[in-house]
Amino acid sequence: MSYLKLQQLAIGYGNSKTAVDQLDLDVAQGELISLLGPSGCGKTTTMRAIAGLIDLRAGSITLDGRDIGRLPPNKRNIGMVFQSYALFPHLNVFDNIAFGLRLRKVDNNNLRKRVEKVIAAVGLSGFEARLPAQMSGGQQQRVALARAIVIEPKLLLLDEPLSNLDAKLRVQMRAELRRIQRELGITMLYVTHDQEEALALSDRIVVMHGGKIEQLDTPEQLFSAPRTRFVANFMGYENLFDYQEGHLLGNGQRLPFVVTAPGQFACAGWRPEQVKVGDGQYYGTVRSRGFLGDSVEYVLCTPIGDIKGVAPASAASWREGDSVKFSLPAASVLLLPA
Amino acid sequence: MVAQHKTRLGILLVTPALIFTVVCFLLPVLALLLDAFRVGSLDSGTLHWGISRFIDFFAEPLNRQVFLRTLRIAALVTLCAALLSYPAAQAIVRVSPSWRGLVLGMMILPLMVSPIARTYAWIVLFGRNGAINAVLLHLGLADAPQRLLFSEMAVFVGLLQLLLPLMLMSLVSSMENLSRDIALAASTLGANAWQVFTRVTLPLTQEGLIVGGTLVFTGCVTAYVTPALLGGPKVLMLETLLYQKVSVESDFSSANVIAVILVAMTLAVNAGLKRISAPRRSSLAGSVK
Amino acid sequence: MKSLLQQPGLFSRTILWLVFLFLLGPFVIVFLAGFSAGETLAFPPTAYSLRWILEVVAAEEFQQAFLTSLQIGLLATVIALLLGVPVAYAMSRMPPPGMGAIKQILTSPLIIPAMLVGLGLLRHFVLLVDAPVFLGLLIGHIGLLTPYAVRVVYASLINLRVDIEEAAITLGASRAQTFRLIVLPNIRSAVIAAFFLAFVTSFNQVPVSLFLTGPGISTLPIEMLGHMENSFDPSIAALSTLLVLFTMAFVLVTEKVLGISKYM
Repeated sequence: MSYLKLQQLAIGYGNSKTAVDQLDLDVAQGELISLLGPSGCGKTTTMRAIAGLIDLRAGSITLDGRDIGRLPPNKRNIGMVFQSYALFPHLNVFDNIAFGLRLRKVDNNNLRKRVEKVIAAVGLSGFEARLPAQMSGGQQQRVALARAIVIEPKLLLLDEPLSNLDAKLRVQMRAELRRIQRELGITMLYVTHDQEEALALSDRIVVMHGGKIEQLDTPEQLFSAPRTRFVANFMGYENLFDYQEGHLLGNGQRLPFVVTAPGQFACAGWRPEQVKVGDGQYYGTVRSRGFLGDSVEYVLCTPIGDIKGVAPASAASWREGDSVKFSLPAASVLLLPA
Repeated sequence: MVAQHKTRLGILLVTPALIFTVVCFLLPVLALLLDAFRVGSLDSGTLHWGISRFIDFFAEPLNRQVFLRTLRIAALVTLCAALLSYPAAQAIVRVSPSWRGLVLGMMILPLMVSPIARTYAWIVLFGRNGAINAVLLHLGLADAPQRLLFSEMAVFVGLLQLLLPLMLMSLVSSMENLSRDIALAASTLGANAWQVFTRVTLPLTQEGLIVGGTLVFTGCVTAYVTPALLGGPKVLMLETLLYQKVSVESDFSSANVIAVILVAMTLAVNAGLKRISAPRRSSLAGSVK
Repeated sequence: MKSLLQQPGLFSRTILWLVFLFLLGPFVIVFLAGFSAGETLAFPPTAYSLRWILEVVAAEEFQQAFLTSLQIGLLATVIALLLGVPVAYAMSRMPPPGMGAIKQILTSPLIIPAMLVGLGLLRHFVLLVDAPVFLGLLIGHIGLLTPYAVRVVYASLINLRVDIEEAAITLGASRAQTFRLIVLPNIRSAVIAAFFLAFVTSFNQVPVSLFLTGPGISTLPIEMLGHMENSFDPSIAALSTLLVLFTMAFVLVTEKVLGISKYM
């Protein structure tokens, strides 16, 4: 029984091209689903359409059994956290958060209780009188979240909420978000272009490309079994090659490679971590190297194109221009039919 | 839906102002302008379009004189405003930020004061008992009080004082966008101060000059108070002539012709501006008359 | 390098001082002239007194004209804001089709010589429908002030992020509530600046009012001009002094509090 149901959504801007085409999605109650993809793939457009900020060209949106597609945005009871937080600059933290409740004419006592509860939940007790300009990015983000949660929406939309924070804070906030979501059991739709973030947060991930869904799966599945070249590339399989009759193809050249799995395949790929530099049956020339701490990442120039692989830091002594062996293990290869 | 609502709302919001401006502003002026092209009389039933009113108007030597005088003074004022404003603007942009507010305030202040008050000072100075005459007599440079008022020079000075801030602010705005480094770069390449000015500053502040020039020129052409007080009935400019035609002579025919001339000139100058550069119009044009 | 920059610096600074002297000196002159004790306009005044200032303040025709200017100024400004703020909002958030042409029409009052508007309104409105003089005058002023309202508020609105309005909407606010609760508080200083700017413009207006004043209904500047035709006493100087003082205080206060200059 899906809580949020998107059916055959088509969304476009003005009179021009369609940004999202024939999108179907079922989200269960309490799920955290990420819309993942590069800029322009339609993830934000989809989110804004669900919020009601953009019109639908076709299709329907059903939330908890109700068709909300025709409702104006202020009647949909959907909370939204904006990338830029969009805090009201003239109101302090308390009033920012209380805004939605005041519109709903919640009585003062109740209002106070609810606002303070949610302020505590996001860890901002004591900040009630502060103005947005007096707070850091991370704090503003938490106010934005609190403001959207306090109205007890049926659905919470988050549009790349962490992208303006520095790396360390981002990881911290990620965990916070997940914890709050679990505690409150809110259904969340999360837009991001960062695959690591999506993998860490989500119950399921929707990878989008060109206005369509490329793959909808759990993080584990997406990571280990991408189903299209685009998803594979996006999830980190940087070495993708055409495969034909026992050969990898690239640059008009061929490298022999034996596929043991049954079935027809047209594409073979590996993550850099899976390509062992230093040993193997293939040769390549070091084009560049990058120190990663425990290991060193090498970009090798091979007949079929560039291949990225790693070697443990202790053993990695090759420099630019050196010739070095590398392996493409059949055991860990990703095989795609197209 | 959302997009439709937005468009409808947008239309709704601009409609009141639009209707007001068209009905209460444009239509009356349009009627005035059209009248200038209507020849013949209602009574004899010979009403038709024609430019005979214009011909009659320019046939009068006085009218021609006023027309040319207006153009002449406007051009002169614009030129002097530019010449004075460039160095002044350069100095202003170099002022430290803490003083900047005060300096800008001092530039805006004149524009906020009634043109009557501003022009009055010249009456005081140029009058028979005024300061300049007092000095001249005292220094023995003249035997009797000179007539300084009601002369083209007085009008020129008055208009220059009135409109200089417009050119100044326009140039300051334009120069502020000019990085200091550009002038420095030019001088490291060997340019002296004059060359930096002519080859770097001037071309890059062209837009400010044009905007300022337009404001000053149209300001002169459409000025009333200053020519009225400092020029009087002897030195008429187009607007004082217009006033005279209407209130003294009840000569509406000439009045309408002058109206057309005024509108044509302001439109021409503004259109010329648009063609040359992206419009960045100052909102001060109307406050100085 | 130092001498290269110093030289032109000296030249331009000198010109700047001269320009300031030229622009502001007259105010000093007017100021002093207003305090002169004599019967005629001699400068420098032989003696100083408050005589003319007191006379001018007590004069009934000036009091009446001042009141009229005040009434027209306030009314016209408020109405101009009521007309102009929605336009500024629409222009920045939801421009209707044909926005370019609409903008042209709405800013035309800044281009069309004000005197023609006064004349046009007189002949084709006031005389035509025998409208009360006050109304004609008011309409003329409103038309003149509306572009200022639009211009100043628009400048503020385009710097206000749209996402806070969207946030308000997702939290349940209607467009009207969003405007009242979120947009207005954040453009408050622009609206106030527009108010001051428009009021001062109206108060000092001459050309529009020239043809639209009548018996009993006259604005202060027009009354001053009329007076100057007939007498040469320093009373107008005194009035000008008062006006200068009034405006100076006005401008300095609002510049300090609001920083109007950034809206021009």
